[in-house]
Amino acid sequence: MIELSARLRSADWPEKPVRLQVRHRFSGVMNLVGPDEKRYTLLTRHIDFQPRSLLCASLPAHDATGEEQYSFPPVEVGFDPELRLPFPNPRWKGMWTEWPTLETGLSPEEVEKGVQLPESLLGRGEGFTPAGDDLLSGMLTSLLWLDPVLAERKFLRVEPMLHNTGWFSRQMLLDTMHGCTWKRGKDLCMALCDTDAARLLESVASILQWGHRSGAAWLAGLGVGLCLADAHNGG
Amino acid sequence: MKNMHIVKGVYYDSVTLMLVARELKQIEDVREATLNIATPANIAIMRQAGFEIPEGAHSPDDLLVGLDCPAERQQELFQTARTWLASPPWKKESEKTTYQPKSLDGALSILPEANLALVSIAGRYAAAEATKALERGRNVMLYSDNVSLEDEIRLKQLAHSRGLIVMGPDCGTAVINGKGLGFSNACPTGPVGIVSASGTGLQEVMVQLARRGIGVKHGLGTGGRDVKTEVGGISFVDGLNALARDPDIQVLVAIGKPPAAEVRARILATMEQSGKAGVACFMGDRNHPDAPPVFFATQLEECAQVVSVLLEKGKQVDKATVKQARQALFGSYPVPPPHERKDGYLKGLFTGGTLCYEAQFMAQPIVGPVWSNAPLHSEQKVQGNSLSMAGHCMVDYGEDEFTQGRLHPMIDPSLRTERLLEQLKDPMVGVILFDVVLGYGSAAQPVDELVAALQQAGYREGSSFPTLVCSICGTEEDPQVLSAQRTKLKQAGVKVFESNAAAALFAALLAQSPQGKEEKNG
Repeated sequence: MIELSARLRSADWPEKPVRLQVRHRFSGVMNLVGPDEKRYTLLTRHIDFQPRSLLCASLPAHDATGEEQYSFPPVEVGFDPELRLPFPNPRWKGMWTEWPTLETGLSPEEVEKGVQLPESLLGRGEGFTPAGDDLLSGMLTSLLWLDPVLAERKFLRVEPMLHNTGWFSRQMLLDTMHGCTWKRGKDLCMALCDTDAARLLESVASILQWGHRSGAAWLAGLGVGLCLADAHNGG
Repeated sequence: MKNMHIVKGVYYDSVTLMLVARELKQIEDVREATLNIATPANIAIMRQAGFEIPEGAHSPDDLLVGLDCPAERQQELFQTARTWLASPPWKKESEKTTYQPKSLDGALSILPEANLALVSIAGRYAAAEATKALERGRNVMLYSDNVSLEDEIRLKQLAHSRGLIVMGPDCGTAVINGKGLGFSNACPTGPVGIVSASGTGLQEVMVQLARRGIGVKHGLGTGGRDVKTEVGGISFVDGLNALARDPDIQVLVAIGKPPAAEVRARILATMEQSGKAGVACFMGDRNHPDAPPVFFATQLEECAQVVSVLLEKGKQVDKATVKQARQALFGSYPVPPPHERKDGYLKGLFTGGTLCYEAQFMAQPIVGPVWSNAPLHSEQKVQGNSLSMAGHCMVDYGEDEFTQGRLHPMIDPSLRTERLLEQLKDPMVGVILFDVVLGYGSAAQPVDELVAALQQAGYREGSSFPTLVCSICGTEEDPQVLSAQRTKLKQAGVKVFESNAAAALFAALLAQSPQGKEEKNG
């Protein structure tokens, strides 16, 4: 049994001890896999909160690779990954319409094709989460937020084809499909509903700091989805 | 080994090209690295530097990468250049912590109260962006050059019809409410309003006013073509009218090369009807008798001198007082002693276009015809390649031919430095005149490269080398600090002036046409 020095948890972190196995270990983040194949994450920075994650004072020191029972004292919820938001402020339309052209490592042709056939982007690009998956996650986030009918139609063939990308990306996309997102993304969506320009710029900058190009690709996808939803609903 | 690599169909901004070239030059074994868009002028410059560029194998949409390094390292270093172009390693991590909108609409969503859009993108796309800004009710400062005359006229007519103004194209300098845009100096805010068809003309007048303790509230640029017949001075006149309505402004100033006759008439009529005193400074113009409330100047420092008198004396100023002030200024310009005169041609190498023009105007009555790529009179235009400087000659390295796909020389003076060193070796040259423009937007260390090269060449004042004369346009409050630059130049043996007109006069008086030798130009 490994005791965790937890501070806060995401709303969907299991309240009972859970058996997990280490999958990836980075300097401030540890990804673990549960019996349901789902990803669970231990974090050391609040800004990195995501679905099924626990904010710890420090990561477990051992190098366990086998399955272990993890327990932690009862802690408060510090992040709710579910996205329940009002409509974005139309004032920011000029901003989100420029995001689809951000440098993501994908060609404009690939992005264009991905808008028509999202499944074509699965696993495309380099990185821990390929840029194509990040873009899909962003796009699905905004479509589910603003136009669930269009989201379902667009992403109909994506779920059965998730085997075309890696486990970590697959988990990210499954979370998105269930209406959950990472803290940086949720912060940005909340800023889009607000009137504060500084808050929005800070949120965008925070997204861009996520990974090498993951943030830019997610942002490009969010912009694509916002534009699609906007066009579908008559501007 | 000098080798040329051509990358087809790519575009990089000129700052990136300069930084990659600079980084490559830091690598051991790299004697020279130069990256340029394949425009005719850049091809000529690179060929002159010894790079072989095959005819017809390129277009202005291509990138030329010239490397002088051992043959076995050519490919490796070329790949390094491409990698750095794609992802500059010097890009600060902090750049990722801020987000700047990438589009006009994005910027307007953040700053909806903004009433001015500064457009600085490749010329072929600039008119479309400027149109968008005007259609969204914003004034435009069009920094970009290489915008067609037809587009300029259309944009200015659109702006006029909506009560807006277009500053530019090719407008590098403006001051709004005392805040500089583009190339500008740290000068005080005050009761003067300027409309200028020349960027460095505006900077020089503002700096000269600052030396007299006078500030400028607004300095509106118009771009040089505004005062030509085709455009008709639309922005110039609209700008003057706007300044005339401003109660904080006491004196109006108009600056530029001589306008077309009908445009001049419109400008002067607007100034006369403004209810304010004014100075019209059309450089190189024939002398006009002062006609209060409008006074005339043909030189930039003279313009500042007259403004200072108008502010001091108010509406009671008389022509005689202004004349006295002019005489006092001209009488203060230093004259070289006869023994310092040099047998040889006068060569001027400028980063500021208006400073080049004013220098020709000052020198020509003394040395005779001065050739230029931006001449006083069209018949004195250097034919063909502006890199060859024959006879008395002054070149503006900020002209379009040198700035397509290349940084303006006020930002990157390296080409001007190279050319200046060439002139230094020429036995036919007696005096070399050049400018250094300080301020925001200009190179952080504008004279260091030149000073180092002069030391390496063994340059000494009073030696057989040509005499170097320099004018500095800048203030002590500028980021480069006037006194620091002046000291460096003086220690290198350069004669330094803080007035372009005074420097040009001094240089012209130093230069004597070489006896029995003649260079042909044109």
